Amino acid sequence: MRRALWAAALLGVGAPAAAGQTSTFTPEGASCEEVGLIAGTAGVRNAADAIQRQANTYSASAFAARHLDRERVGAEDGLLVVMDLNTTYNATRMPVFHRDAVDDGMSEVGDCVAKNRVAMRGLDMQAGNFGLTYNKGPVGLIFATSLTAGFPAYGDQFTRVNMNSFVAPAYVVGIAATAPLLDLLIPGDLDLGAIKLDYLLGARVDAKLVQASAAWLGSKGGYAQLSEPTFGGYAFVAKSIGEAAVWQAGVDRLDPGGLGAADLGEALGLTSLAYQQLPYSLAAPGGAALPVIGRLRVTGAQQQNIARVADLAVRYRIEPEASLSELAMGLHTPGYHKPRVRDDDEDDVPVGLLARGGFVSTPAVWSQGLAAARLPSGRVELNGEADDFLVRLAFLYNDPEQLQLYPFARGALSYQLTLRGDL
Amino acid sequence: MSRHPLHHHLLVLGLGLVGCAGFQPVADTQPCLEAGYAIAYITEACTGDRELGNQRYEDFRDQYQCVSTPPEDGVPGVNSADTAAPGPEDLYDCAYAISQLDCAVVEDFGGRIGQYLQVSPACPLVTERKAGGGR
Repeated sequence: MRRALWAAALLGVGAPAAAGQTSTFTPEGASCEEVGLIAGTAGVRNAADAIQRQANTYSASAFAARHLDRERVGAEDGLLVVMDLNTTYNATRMPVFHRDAVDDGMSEVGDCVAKNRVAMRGLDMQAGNFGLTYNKGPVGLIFATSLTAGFPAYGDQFTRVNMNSFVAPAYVVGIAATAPLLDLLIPGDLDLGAIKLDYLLGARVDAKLVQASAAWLGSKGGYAQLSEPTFGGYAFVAKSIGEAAVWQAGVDRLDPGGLGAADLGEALGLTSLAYQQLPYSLAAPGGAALPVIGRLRVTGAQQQNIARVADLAVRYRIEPEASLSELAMGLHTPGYHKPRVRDDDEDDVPVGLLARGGFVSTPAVWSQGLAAARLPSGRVELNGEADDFLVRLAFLYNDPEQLQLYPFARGALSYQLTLRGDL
Repeated sequence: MSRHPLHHHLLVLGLGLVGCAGFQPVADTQPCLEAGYAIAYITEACTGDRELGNQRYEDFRDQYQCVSTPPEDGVPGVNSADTAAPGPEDLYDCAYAISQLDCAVVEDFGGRIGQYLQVSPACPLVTERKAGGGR
């Protein structure tokens, strides 16, 4: 019952397309409402996989490490509040059948005719994070939440965009922000199949040369993070009971300018390196996960703010198959990327724009229904900053980070919105 | 002055950006392709060997071809969706049955693709052996 209520809260809002109205945005068959997944197909397995990996990618711990802990190294006393919202259209496509396409084997309902009984539907995904951290002197508190969800796309495009752009985000962020309270009121499993919720509560210590934080995860596990301000080195691990650990380590925006080599810093910009390790399992036909059979290990390097206006990015997949997964370059307004330690007034422009393009290569994985492919990728990002408030909106096509982890997300379009207030 | 409110323009922009529809017709050969994907999947799940899974899919493609117009009214004796009447979704019973195989059975079948395609009455309706198509 509880699962049904959650699903109703998130998915039951917004009426499906009006019956019988076919147009560019309302394809024939869009009034089919009773969607059944066809078990045993690659698309349905991929959907289960995408939902699980999205929960890892946008977990409360990954969010805390990226947006809260590392942003606070060497910061003054105060409160930082961050909200992040990610929407992905067509994370995968899956064969479905529509029970209402045939009514008792005799009549047909609206435009949900028998020929539309089996169709391909996209999987749309939402991920919301909310977090805050407060530090006074060398100690601080940290709180972060995550809610990730995936559901079959609405047939009617107008309803679909309305849901994904306005209605679902409000629910996702609202539920994510109140996660601990909900867990307190309705104690139990935070993994509700297509909807996964988590949160963390912890403390941090900033000892100048090294900064550390540790937190308890609502999904009954732990999170630990270490970072250092000089080179931007960091590492974190998150592990819940009964699940394999998720690791990340790297260097975040190494700035030669901050190390006393101003001219070199101006020419080279900022260097970031990342390594990520996730458990790899295959989803079983019923949606349950099979035992972990390996690891997903990926790595990447970025050189940002080259001559203040250009970026280069390379990603490499180590396991399960070694291959180059992204090569891209971008151009942006001068000083778009901020150094970790902000002491450069020249970089404080109120509005920034970034455009990045390249290619992503994905391997042949026939268990997921995928031939090897090389795909174009693109990212356009807008950044607005006023006083201590930041807004960032990004549109991504064939997001390399996503494709590196789930190669079936081909042709996917994503929106990302980040709001940050440094109070 | 525009007749439409701001949210209308935002939605139209969003629709343009989304591009591909969330709902598309399915190809007639999809149940057959899914059978091949299922062979790759169950091989990889049981052995942990992705390359072997890929190899068995390629063997399937080399030895078998898809029936271009499988029957629309389903598979005799199969009602996988538990609906009032059988339908084209029942053709996916071939992929489903393969993906449900026990690993001991998969070990026994090994690389004999034809064995996998005998586990459901839906399989011969969606795929057929190529002339001279191996085992």
